[in-house]
Amino acid sequence: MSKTKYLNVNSKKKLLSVNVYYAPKSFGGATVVAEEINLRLKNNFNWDITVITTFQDKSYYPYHLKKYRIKDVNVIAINLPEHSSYELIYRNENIADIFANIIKSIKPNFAHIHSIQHIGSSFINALHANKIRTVLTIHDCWWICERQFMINKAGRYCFQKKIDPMACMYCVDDISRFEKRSEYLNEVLSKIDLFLFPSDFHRQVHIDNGIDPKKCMTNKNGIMMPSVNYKKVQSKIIRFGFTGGPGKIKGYELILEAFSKVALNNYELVVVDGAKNLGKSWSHAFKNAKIEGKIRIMPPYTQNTMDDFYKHIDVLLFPSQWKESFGLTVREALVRDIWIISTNGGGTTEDLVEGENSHIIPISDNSDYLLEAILECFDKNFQKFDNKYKQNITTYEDQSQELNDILIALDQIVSHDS
Amino acid sequence: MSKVLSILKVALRNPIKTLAKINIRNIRSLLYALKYEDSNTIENNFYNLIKLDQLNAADTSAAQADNAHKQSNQAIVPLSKQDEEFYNTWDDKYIIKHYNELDNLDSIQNVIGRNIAIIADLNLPQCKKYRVIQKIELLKRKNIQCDFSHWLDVPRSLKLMQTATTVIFYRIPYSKLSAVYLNEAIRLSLNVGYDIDDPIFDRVLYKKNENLNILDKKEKAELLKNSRHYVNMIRQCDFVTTSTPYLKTVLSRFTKSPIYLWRNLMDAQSLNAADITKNTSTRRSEKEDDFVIGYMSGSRAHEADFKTAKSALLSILRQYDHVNLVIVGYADSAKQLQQEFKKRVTLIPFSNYYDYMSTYAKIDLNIIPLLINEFNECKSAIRFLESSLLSIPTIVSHVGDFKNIIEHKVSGYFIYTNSEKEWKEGIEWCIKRRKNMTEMGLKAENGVKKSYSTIEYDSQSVENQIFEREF
Repeated sequence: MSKTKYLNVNSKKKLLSVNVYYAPKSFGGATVVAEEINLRLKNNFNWDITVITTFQDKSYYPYHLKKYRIKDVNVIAINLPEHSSYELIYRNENIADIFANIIKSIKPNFAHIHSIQHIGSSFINALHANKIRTVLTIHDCWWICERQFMINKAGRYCFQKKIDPMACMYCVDDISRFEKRSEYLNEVLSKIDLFLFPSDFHRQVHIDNGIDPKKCMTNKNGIMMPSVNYKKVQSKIIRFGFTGGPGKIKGYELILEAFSKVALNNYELVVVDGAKNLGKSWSHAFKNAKIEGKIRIMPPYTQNTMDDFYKHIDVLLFPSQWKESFGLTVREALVRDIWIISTNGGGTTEDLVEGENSHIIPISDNSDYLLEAILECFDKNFQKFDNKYKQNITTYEDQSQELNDILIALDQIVSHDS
Repeated sequence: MSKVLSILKVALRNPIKTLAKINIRNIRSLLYALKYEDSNTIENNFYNLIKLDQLNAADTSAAQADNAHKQSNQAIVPLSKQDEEFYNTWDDKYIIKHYNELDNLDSIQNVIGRNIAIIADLNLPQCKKYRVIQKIELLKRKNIQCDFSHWLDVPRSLKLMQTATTVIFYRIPYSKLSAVYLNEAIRLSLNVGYDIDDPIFDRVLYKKNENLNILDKKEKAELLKNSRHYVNMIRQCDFVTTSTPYLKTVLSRFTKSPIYLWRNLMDAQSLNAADITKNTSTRRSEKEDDFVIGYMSGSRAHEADFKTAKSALLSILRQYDHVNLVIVGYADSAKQLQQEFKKRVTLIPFSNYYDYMSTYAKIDLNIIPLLINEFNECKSAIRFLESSLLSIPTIVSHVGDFKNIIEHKVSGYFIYTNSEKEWKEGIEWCIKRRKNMTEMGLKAENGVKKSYSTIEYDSQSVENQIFEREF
């Protein structure tokens, strides 16, 4: 008997989803978002999804492919060569060829692109040549900043609004290759039908840097909601949580400096040892801190175990020293009735209400702003704190519903235009 | 060079065992290996072949136990002998690693799209042209994504399978390597096809091929023994494609899967070669003083076929001074003819396809003598299609797919009994009716161009249903 499962040739909802990482190696915020959204687009909205991602294993030939099924979608993973180069990270014709083959086989109607450093952007030319409606979610600043996060050589957020390449010249290692990169990426960006951003702030950054506002929409990231049994563990002392690790940019130094000035000891600082995901540890950095309160180190959490971390804290410290495109941790804490102390950084504050569910401080080297916000907490009773604004937080269900509607509308708009 | 050294290294260390293990199959495997494997693999496998029996037997059974739950029909081929092991080992490490890694994850469920991968034995150039590249041409003309690879080029084959929706194995035997290909195809939920254009899988039928008698006994026995490896593959596939209606019938005795006729056609290269010939050679006219008979032999394996018409040809050459003979390719017995008739018999070695096609412009009649037996019943009509492209008429034994394609005395001339008398009368009929022969050639040309080319064909040549059902 011949198999009769090749029914999808004429489906109008075939989507190629592209992200540099994917399960079983889920790494980074964009990856989690891509996985959760794809799962819902498939199950709730009946999309046929093929994910293109990468892996690295030098025992296979470069550009070997592995196709597998995970989290309800088919994944084709491309083996990246062992040795990459500055250019290959943004421009890779070998990968474009693989895409061309996949496009001609699957004939997708849409492509949804997430983070693609190391995949390179050349494949977008293949999508364009085959008239695939292409949506790009910009999760960070990779398209406009070769350092990816607008954090300069000295480790500081660069605060440029409209990026001046003359300023970047002093920040990059090689001016001519930087210029070539910008030129190439701009050319590729012109082939995108629609840009999506996880926050209004991040959208504005890219509009300020030349992307057509009519093509830019905010599609806020969803988050993993607490389980129905979620209940905070009560405590007599205040518990401050921090997920960032010992990096200047996440505000680690400010936290230690501020707590060193707190003369009380009825608190606990709960830190997540995120480096464990990479086979390392940050615990030494915190264990030696000279502060009065207790320090508790927690193992890294997954999407399914995050409740175990959040139920042990009252306040989330988010003194990030750069303007984040979204701020996933802040939202995860907000829906779990946790008070937030956050810097006024980009997309992070868009769901914060000053004095109601959070205290917003400026991005600054001066730890006194943070200290003041910490001290205020000792006057609050967190045992019964309930965030009244948590229904405003976007869930993965909301995000995928919105994305589904966007894709369908885009199909009509682009068809109409042509 | 390092590959050869790696073999010599092992051989010199174990000279007696090496000599004991040398046979045709192993030498063939070594030649494949030299072409496709790295020196380490070659050294390991060669060492495995000649090392102690017990050690090897233990390895084999352990490997089998390990894969027992995965490999569907493994038990049909017991891998008891060392030689079997050697033959079956080349190199499945790459695919095994890939397969084992992904076997821990879910298998692919819903296959989206259309992409055909052909994984083939490409060792015979004419097979590559007619059974592989022609399919690629036809699929590409239909805008269906496709590609092909040599089955021993594991990385390429494996990579093609990852983006495919259907895989077609052409003429590959069941082996450890093909077993993993089958498993991988099932993991990827691919539709699995098998293409075969000769009855190599049917031992009883294959044995009847008298052309095999030129091989020595051992070689012939070896060839016949291998037929079960092909049957084993055919039986595990979801559909089968084959080149002639008769082969379709033969195959239906071996599998219940759908079998589709996919004839050998005249492809873009053939049409182009014919075009080049027409542009560079002047057509022979009916008024030429001489009459040239052409015999095109693809391989050594046609010796017995040629003999069916040999005595008639001798008699014609003796009786008609103006008749000449051109022989292209292999034909040992033709050399005897040349001794007697000197300049009237021209031997042209096979050089390349374009030169081969241009020789049709030098002849007035294409002669295709074939033994009338079950083996030749499976034969496709390539040599008729080729000569027809250049409107050269054909005289042919009444056997194989020629029977279905040619109309006697309209688009060709049949010899029904292969008797010397019939052959002689048939050739005489052609020599004496040159005007009729020109018309016959043109009819044949029209017919071939209308129904048997990759540009124009009908469901008689390639059964259309395959495109909806299997791709």
